[in-house]
Amino acid sequence: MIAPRSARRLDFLRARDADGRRTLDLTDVRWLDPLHLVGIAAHAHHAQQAGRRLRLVGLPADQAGYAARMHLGRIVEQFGGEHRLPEVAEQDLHDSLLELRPLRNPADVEVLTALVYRRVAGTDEQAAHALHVALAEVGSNVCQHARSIGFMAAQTIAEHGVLRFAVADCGVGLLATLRGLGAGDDRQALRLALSGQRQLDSPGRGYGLPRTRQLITQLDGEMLLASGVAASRIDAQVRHERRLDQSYPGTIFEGAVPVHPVASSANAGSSRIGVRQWTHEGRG
Amino acid sequence: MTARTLQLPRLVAGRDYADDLVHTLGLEPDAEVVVDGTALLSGTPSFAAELVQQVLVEGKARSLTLIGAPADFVDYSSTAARDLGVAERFAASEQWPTAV
Repeated sequence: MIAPRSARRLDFLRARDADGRRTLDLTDVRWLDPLHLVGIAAHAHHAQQAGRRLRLVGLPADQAGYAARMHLGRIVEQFGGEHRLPEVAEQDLHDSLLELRPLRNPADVEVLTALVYRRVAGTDEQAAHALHVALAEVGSNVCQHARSIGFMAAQTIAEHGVLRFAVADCGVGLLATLRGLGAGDDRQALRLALSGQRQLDSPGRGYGLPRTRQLITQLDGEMLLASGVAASRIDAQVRHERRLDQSYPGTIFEGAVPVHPVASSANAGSSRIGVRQWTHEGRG
Repeated sequence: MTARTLQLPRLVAGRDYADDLVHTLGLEPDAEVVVDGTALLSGTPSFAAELVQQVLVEGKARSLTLIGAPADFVDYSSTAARDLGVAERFAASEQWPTAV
């Protein structure tokens, strides 16, 4: 079982519009997760679509270095945004699994999910499968339904033996996709997407999120899904629903599963998650 | 009646990819389709559902036999076949049948 993370982490993604800029103040963020990386990227894209520029401020120095290594600054700039992240060596990827990447089409999803599978499979095949299915299914949903590009990132948290992975877009959201199948508000859309009930109306469709949920909870992991003003955090024991103070523009997902590295020196050279990552001592 | 064999690669994901792979078969109605999953390491539920949809529903194949795929992928495929009403034309086997 991994240490649970609250859906309140989404509160850090509240943007404020003023003077033609959209400001995201991350002063209170103590640990930047893939959830934040993809959410900030989606905000940058959303701001550009709205004719604004995202201004990223306040990220503590120890997290800013990590954010830069995960290419957050590059993505924010790509969508016309501003930031004060440091310049870092591009090759320093010791605490990343998949740097922040845009998802523009199904081929991007295939390539990136295969990449992360290969990086994890030598260490923990079950976790690799969960990661592959979750990222591919949620990423495919972006391409099929969001009417927007999306973003993907994955991260090892070596101290905790956890893999975290996230996908976000600033598209139409779950409600717009599922309104025709009976969803009346964001909360109902979220429940419908996770329940598998959609298969009753659309046979052969709607397996992705329910199966992702099943895989993650079977591995004692957790997942967070939010769209509009609805958020749901799920693990094997509980499902917490939460109404967000500020509507999330699109859909955001994060999954986390424990990883059990093979206790063998033979593994060290066979995977990107080798000895060095498991002895990672922090950020900075 | 024609027979077609589709070899799955190590990783499969996405409905588009399933469409592309099935398209390469040049399926004719009433074909018997064997899907070789012996190299497959991880496949997604949506890929499995689209494979069944394209072969048995759209392609009107007589049968789809999935061989050697991981248990999860067999489950995804058989669930889709059941939900799509074509379960009687779907079969899964852990290995290729031995010659007699």
